[in-house]
Amino acid sequence: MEEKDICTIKIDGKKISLAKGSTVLEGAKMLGIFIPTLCYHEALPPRGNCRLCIVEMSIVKRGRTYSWIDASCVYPVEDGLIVQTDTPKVRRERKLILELLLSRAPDSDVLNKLAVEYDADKNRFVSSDNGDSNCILCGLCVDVCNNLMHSSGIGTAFRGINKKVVSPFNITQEVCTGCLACISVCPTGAIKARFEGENLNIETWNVKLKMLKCHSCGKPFYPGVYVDMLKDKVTMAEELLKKCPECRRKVFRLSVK
Amino acid sequence: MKTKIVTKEDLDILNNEGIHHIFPDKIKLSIQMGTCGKASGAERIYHIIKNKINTDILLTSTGCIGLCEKEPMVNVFVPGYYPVVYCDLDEEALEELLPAWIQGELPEKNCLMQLNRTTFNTNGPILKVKENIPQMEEVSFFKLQKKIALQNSGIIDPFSVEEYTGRGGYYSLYHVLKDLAPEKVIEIITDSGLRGRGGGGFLTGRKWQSCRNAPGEPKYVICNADEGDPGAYMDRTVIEGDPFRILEGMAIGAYGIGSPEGYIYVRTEYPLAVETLHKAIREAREYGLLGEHIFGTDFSFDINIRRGGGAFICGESTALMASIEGKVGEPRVKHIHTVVSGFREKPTTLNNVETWANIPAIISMGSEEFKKIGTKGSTGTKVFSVVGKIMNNGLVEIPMGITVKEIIFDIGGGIPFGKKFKAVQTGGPSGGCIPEKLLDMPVDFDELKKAGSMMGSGGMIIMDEDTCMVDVARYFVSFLVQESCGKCTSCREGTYQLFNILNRITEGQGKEEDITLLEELSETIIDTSLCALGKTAPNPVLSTLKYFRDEYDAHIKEKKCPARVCKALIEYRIIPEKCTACGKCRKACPYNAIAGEKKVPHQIIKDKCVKCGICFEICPFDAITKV
Ligand SMILES: Cc1cc2nc3c(=O)[nH]c(=O)nc-3n(C[C@H](O)[C@H](O)[C@H](O)COP(=O)(O)O)c2cc1C
Ligand code: SF4
Ligand code: FES
Repeated sequence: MEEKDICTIKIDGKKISLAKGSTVLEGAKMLGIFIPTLCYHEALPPRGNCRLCIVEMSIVKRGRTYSWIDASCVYPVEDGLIVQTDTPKVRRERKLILELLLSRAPDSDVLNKLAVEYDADKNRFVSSDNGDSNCILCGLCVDVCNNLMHSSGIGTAFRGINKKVVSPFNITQEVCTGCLACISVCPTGAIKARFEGENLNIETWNVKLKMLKCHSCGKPFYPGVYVDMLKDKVTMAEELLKKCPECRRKVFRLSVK
Repeated sequence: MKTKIVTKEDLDILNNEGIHHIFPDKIKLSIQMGTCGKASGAERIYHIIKNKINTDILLTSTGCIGLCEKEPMVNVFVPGYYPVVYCDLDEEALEELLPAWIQGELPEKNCLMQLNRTTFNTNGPILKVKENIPQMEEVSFFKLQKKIALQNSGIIDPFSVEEYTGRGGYYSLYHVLKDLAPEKVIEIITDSGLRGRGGGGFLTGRKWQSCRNAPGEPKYVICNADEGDPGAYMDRTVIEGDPFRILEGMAIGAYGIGSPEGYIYVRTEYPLAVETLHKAIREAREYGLLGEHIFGTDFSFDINIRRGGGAFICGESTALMASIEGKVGEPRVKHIHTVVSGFREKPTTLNNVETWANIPAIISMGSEEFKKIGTKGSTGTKVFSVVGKIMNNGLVEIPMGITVKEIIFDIGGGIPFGKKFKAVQTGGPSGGCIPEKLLDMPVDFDELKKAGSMMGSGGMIIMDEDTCMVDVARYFVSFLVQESCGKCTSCREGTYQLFNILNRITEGQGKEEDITLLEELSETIIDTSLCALGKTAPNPVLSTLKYFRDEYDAHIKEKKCPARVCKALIEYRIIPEKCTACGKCRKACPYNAIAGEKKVPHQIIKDKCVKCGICFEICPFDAITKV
């Protein structure tokens, strides 16, 4: 890498050199400095929705010092940038952001834990809780569904305080494969899904999918549509795909012997 | 099929035709048919006239000349004289006026003014001035104005490329394409000091230069005609009155930047503007003024229209580009500028309608002349829509640097009904309120910012003594709550909480610590919101807190609304000495909340009264008061 492609910045007094295009959050992670995040996930590009990862930054340009607050997960490093991750101002504003998030999702465990650390007061603001979920609109589920799984099974509807993540037109739809990637990235456990007999029921998205029964043991294991999707994506014999992971492993173990 | 305009001679022929259209050898009636004119009944006027004239009289339409208060208006051209503008027209007035006009007379009735050499300086013949009729520069509404972006609006037929050319249009583009290198074009715009008219006030030339320098092809130019601010209609008027100016401006910019393709993003709620643009683009293409090899050069450029669904946030640059791409209209972080990676991740220059409309004028007058208008830091003119509690509601274009006071009192004619001025809100919903003591402030990007407001796109809402400033802050914040895209926490939740606090103050439920909470919330929303909507959303709160703190205190501590606007804090009472027991209020009250008999002063039954104010309006004896 050429020198011009490297930026040296200071985070909480520690120097680090990073490739151009890296973010301040990535730098902090390398240095082992913890910055709280909610809408950040390694598998996806950063989005800057939750604003919890804010830090104080300053830089000297043409003899003048500029200071400001910004979200570290999306801020690209610049040579000479000085970052402070835990100043009184940062803590005060994170506390307020947590209070705002708690007004929407008062029961979220993650938020309540953070609230203790930042001394956030759950009752300063009027509730904007719509009652049925801990969704904080971080945007991860929509992103993973659309841009990693390429399913487009969910999206946002409405704007502002009424914004919601919903299945298209909030009705039962057929594009969801039941991969549950959304659940795995959700920071607040806001998406509800259950196995009900032979079905996978993702209530939050109005989806009910029939589970495929393992061709060997007969136990329902994955939604049928999910296995169909896998057929196109992985190079595995169809007969193997139709077995549950345990039975599949048995087959492999046999073949290794 | 029209012949393409290639040479200077072609352009001169078109120019000549245009001048002949503007000053024909017949009597011509041009109805001002902008959206504002139509709303005042211009279409009716048009049809009445159409049914009563024969082919000896020409009938055309034109845009809005700015004084929307006095519409419907008709420009009457009688050969030999400069056009005369008639205002406040209705059927009755026409009955007298139309026969006179047909006879070639220019009576004084309903006459607003005569246009003259100030308007038609270099174009067209020298004509006669009509005595007894005020000249445009004698009318106080127009006296201090300086028209550049609105130069043709209300003067020419917006659908006629000939008339636009007749006013000098397309000579700038011709000059640029034939004589100037792209870098030189950018140099002129940079040197002119032109700053973007859409809000931020960024130097237009510098933006173009960065876009030109950025790697990546093709580059795009976009015109922002989203205009979502409540009470603002500058851009709509420019489009409806002078669409070719924008097309020419964009073509000049595209040549400078090196872009083959442009977009105009215009809101669907502007049907006439959309239609006007479609027609203009079609016309320009037919004449070869858009498309391949414009003026026979190697430069090719075309423009597409995209309609927005009316979300305020889609006026923000990155949200706008996402919307044109067919995605959800949400902003993204702008650490990589759109001039480097914008529409379709290509270098993109986005400018406001009015910014584009200034370009042909700057090229034709030169940057030196342009710089002479306005102030050092804010050159040129700015169009404002002056609305609210003001005599002359309308659109004004003023040289930067004249004072807010001059706009409101000299141009705007002051506050109606002898009321006292209280504040003026500039900069759209997230601008600030300027109090009386700052009225001498010159209108300039930097001065407005210093006062805690901003230029924004040029909305100016005038408020009188009957306005409650807490209620005003509440109104603007409620607009922003609805228009926040909802992407980031600080803006989505933060503005909602600002609204709740303001709401409870206006309902008499405010607590003393609410003021600190408002301030704390505002600080965090400003510091931590993702885009400029959130970052400026607390402005209405902070500026009213700064200049009208006493009103907040009255609401919170004394539970009183000094302007007597907030329903929860007022009461209607009947003054027995003044009440004649006429019974009007009793009959009008929709809640039967007024008791009384003949000859006995009436009374309001408190428990039933919902404070609708109908009795207050209806009492002929001013016997009802608000306390
Ligand atoms: C919430 C929001 C709404 C905006 N709305 C508009 C608009 O309606 N029209 C406009 O020209 N600019 C609007 N802007 C400003 C644009 O983002 C952009 O700065 C401008 O179009 C650039 O053009 P200019 O440099 O010619 O001013 C808005 C900005 C924000 C943050
Ligand atoms: S500041 Fe408001 S409008 Fe801007 S991205 Fe955040 S939520 Fe959307
Ligand atoms: S983690 Fe950076 S904004 Fe959410």
